[in-house]
Amino acid sequence: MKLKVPLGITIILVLLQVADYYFKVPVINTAAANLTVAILVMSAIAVGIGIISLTRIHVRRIVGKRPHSLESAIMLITLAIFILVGAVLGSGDPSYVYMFQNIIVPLDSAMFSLAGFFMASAAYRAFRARSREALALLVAAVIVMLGQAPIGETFWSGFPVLSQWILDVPNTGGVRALIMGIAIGMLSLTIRMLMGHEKGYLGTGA
Amino acid sequence: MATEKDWTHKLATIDPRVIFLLLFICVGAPLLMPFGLPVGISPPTTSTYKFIEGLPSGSIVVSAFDMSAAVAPECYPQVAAFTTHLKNKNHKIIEVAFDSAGPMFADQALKDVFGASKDHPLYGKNFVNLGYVAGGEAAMKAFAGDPKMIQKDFYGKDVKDLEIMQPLSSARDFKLMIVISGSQVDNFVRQFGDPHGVPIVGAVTAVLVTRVMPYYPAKVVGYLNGLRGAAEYEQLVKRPGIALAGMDAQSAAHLLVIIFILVGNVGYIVRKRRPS
Amino acid sequence: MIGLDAKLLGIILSGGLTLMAYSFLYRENRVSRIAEHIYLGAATGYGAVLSGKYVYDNAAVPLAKGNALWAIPLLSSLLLYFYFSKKHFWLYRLPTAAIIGVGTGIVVAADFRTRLTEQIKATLLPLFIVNKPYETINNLIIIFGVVGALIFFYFSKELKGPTRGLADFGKYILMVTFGASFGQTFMARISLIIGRVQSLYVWPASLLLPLAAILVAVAFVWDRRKQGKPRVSTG
Repeated sequence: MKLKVPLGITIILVLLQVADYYFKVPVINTAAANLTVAILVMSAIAVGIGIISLTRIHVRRIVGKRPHSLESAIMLITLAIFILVGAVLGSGDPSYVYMFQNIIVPLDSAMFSLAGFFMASAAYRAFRARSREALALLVAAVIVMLGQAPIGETFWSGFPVLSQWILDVPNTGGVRALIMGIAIGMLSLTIRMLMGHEKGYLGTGA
Repeated sequence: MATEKDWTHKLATIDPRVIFLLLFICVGAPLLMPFGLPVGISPPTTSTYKFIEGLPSGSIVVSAFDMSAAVAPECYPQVAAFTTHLKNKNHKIIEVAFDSAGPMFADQALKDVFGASKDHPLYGKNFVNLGYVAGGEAAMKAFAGDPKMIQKDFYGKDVKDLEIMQPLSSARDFKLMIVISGSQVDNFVRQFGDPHGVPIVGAVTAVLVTRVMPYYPAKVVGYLNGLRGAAEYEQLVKRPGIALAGMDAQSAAHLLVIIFILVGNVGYIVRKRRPS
Repeated sequence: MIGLDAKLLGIILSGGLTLMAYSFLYRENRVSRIAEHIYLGAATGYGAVLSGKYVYDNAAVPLAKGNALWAIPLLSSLLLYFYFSKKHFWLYRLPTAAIIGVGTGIVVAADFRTRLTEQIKATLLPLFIVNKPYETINNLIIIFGVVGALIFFYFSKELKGPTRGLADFGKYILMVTFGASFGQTFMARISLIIGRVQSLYVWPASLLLPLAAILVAVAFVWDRRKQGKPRVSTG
């Protein structure tokens, strides 16, 4: 019962959305559209679960005087400030935009950009032409990097052309095969959900 | 035989922080002392430019922000460039975000290009920032079915009172959708391109370009390839900015990594060929 | 409006946080961890505000104005918070099932067309075009590349003969794809570094650069004296 009802809900709603896509029946289309709009609100409210979980973990760390308690305290203070300021002033307020532009943007992009440094280090240490396949990968990577940077064109006008050809032709073939495989995988996962075999999304005990 | 003093061993075990420092210098130095290398225009950028040029004046164009703050250094210069183009062609711009960071960049773009956002006299008539729509792809489907399902825009104004939104009944009324994304464009093709026939342009990070290719040019009529694409577009709209300024640094960094790869492989081949 | 002083403070704040995050490159340290935690708190708080605004504008306000149907999703969503209850955890499954059901249905219905049938259609290219050898070769590479790459992932039976040849061709096409992907990914990450360094060059954030260099030099000398050899950072 505690498992069958949620599984039943999933099955009905999956079939309703699929029917909405393939059939033009006003009752089905209206029901699907209204449900979709309702789900958007439910998804937004679900964000609260993440906030509560995060707060619990870090409060326990502080109360238990575990390592990195200071960092946890800073995290909770920042969280509280962003929620309070946003709730009181509104997300469109210039002060909130200022906080976003000067705190979130630099930190988010700095952390993402760290990968660039590690990729350079990895390219130096690990990028070896150990086999013909690795050589093909390496050659393609080098041509694309030279083609996409202006310096490649300065060395030889053919680099941008070759780089674009790699993206247009072999890459298209490879990625198309991958996304078709993903689509088939998605289809089989959905069939498993419809048969009630896929229950991981229902949490522990499912 | 490779010993600890052997040059190949020293090369292979170099401190990674030396590599980080070299990369930082290769990026930082050209920004202070640019070489001024010319930046050619690639075919996908030309396709994007021509498509926007070819739209009748006053066409409704949707800028769909699906980008996080992390990819702002790549995607925001693209946004500034194509928003300038849309303004120059008097197209109507509807900005909507499917990522929570989107509305901030949408607001910034309006301020940079039009001088003001919600306080501009043309706000609501020629452009609008609808803000964030939660729900991921479900949000895209809902928006495609009825763009007026959003009650209030990013600044709290009632969407039903905005003149620009009046003629819209579904995504079929969009003449173009520009997807600004750091994660995927497949969902936009699924919810806007295929069911409603909306032409899509991808203003995407370089990472995403390989995944855009299966849809180009049938569904995605053009795309901007990361910061390089932004630099190209800045040239086309005659609005040189930070993207163009960053191209020399891009060149230097790419050259450095290629040298790293070559040196690393030379050392590997030399060590491999030595008798053990 | 944000005054000039606040703008300058913002530039310093932005530059300082960038350098705090970049200190991780020297080695993992408390400063970089603080930067990570600030980001975690800020991004989560910001996401919560935007989500809350969406719920307020699109559900709570219409409900207050008399549209009683909005009570159903609003009340149903509250069941999500039984996630934290061991006894009544099963109640959390009801709205979760609804969200997953709708989301999965939306994606899979459209995916069958966009990522399967339309891609098959796009792969059905002319095998031979008179007087256009370049387009012909490109079409053949795409067609056999797609087929070969798909066959490459068929592991149920050993591949022999022409199928094996096709799978090998597909393998090389995939290697070229991954190489292109690496090149593009590296380009993207460098672009982010460029963006951050450009922001560090803006005055007064540029004052932080020599300060950071001095701190790194001091840390380096300190490490060498303490251990005889600096610890190598991850990477």
